[in-house]
Amino acid sequence: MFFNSLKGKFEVLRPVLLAAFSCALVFCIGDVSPLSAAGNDRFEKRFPVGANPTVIVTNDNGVVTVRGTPRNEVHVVATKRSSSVEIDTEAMGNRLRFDTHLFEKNMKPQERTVDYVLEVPEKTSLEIHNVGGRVRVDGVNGGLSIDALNSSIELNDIHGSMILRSVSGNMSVARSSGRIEANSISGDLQFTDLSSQSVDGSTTSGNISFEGNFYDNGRYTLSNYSGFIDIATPADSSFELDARSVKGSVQSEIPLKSKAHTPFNPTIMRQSLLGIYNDGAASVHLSSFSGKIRIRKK
Amino acid sequence: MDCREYQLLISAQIDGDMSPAEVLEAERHLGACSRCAAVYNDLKTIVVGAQQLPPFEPSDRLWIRVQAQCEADGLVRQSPGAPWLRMEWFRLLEGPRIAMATAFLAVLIMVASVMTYRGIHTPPQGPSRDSTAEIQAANEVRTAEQHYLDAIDSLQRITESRMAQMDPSLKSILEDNLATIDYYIDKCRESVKNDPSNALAQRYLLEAYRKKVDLLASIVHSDVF
Repeated sequence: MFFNSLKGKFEVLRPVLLAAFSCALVFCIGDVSPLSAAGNDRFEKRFPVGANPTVIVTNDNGVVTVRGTPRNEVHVVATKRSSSVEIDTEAMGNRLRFDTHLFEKNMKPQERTVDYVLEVPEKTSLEIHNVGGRVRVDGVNGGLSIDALNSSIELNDIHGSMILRSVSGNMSVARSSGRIEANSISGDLQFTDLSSQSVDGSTTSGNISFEGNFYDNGRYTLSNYSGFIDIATPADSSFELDARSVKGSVQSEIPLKSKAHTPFNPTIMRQSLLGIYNDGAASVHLSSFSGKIRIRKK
Repeated sequence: MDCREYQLLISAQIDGDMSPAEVLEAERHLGACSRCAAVYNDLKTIVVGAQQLPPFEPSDRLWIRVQAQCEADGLVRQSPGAPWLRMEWFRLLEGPRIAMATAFLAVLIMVASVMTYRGIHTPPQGPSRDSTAEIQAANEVRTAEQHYLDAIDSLQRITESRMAQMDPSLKSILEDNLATIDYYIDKCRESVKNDPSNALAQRYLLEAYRKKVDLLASIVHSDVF
């Protein structure tokens, strides 16, 4: 009677048990991690490296996130949304390369998407090519080059040279030092609290904002064709200003003096403004074809 | 060295800012890649042409505008002399020789006052020299512009076939941005045409052409799009 009762319960539970067994089987046969309901596939690997490694990431579409760590290893986690995409890795000594390889042409953006999360040694030389999506890098100090089409770029706490190129993505750089070259066609540029002594930012139809101090003997060149250039700098900043516009306007809300140290009124809208603030220790060149340039106190 | 790596170094090569090893690698690549060699030759021609632009001597009209702006800003007091005398005064006031300039200012204001009182007229100088320098500068800008247009023409023939095979959404983004640059090229060209002596407008025009060349070159050489 006991077994009859058990058999009865088993008959009822059989479909449930079968489903559970199937899931467990898939879990055991599957790759590093089980496939999610959305069909994502995850690739994860660790590479021990020596000092000052070079890491190159080439991706079509997705979010690339890189963080500097004190460890001597490169830890990569890549999540892809389609089986028509693979991640090619190449490790040659201290040089690592991760490429997203598409098996088919004209795939939809979602199918082409691969998101990378990398942890790299702080003194890594980093090169990223990302067509669409977003790139974010924090705390890497070995030199950085980012090339993007429709991808935004966000850099925080970077110390080392930065060469940034984007066609239509916005760029922001904060709390960083080292030489910065940022070029975009239609993206906005935002610079905040930099310790850099050399900043060269250019966009065609985007806006540029610079908030923070200018450093002694530094050279800051910002230019666009339209849009605004907005400079917010603290009262103890010291710079020589050369601001010009062909068809736009230049306005300063901070007191400037001419090289002859005669104060003049800089608040009137004009198309060029040359003057010195405090001791004129840094050199600031702002130019816009038809946009508005504004300099104000932070 | 592949085309992408070469493209990152092309500016340094033109500026002569490469290590001997990099020079060797770059030259090897140029020997093997006709596309990169064509781009290098065009950019080199543009740089050499720009360096051969003559020093531009400011016109007398410029000094009048400078003086008017200084007076408006309260930097100097208006000279009591006639306009043609103020023009002479500014032409003497070059370079950072502030003390000498101040002395000249004092002397010339006195002279201007006396001469105005006596009604002596000195005809303004240099309208013909003024327009010759402007024409020469405009011609040099046109020459540089033509070099850029030639480079753009070469690159566009290659990019057309690349973009035809591209993902439609990427192609659309690139086309929009190329159209943005073309719009500003037209605006700058119009500005230079209306004011041929405006050096800033000239610079913006040539810079817009350079951006177009850069964007087309990146489409040609990109491994990603």
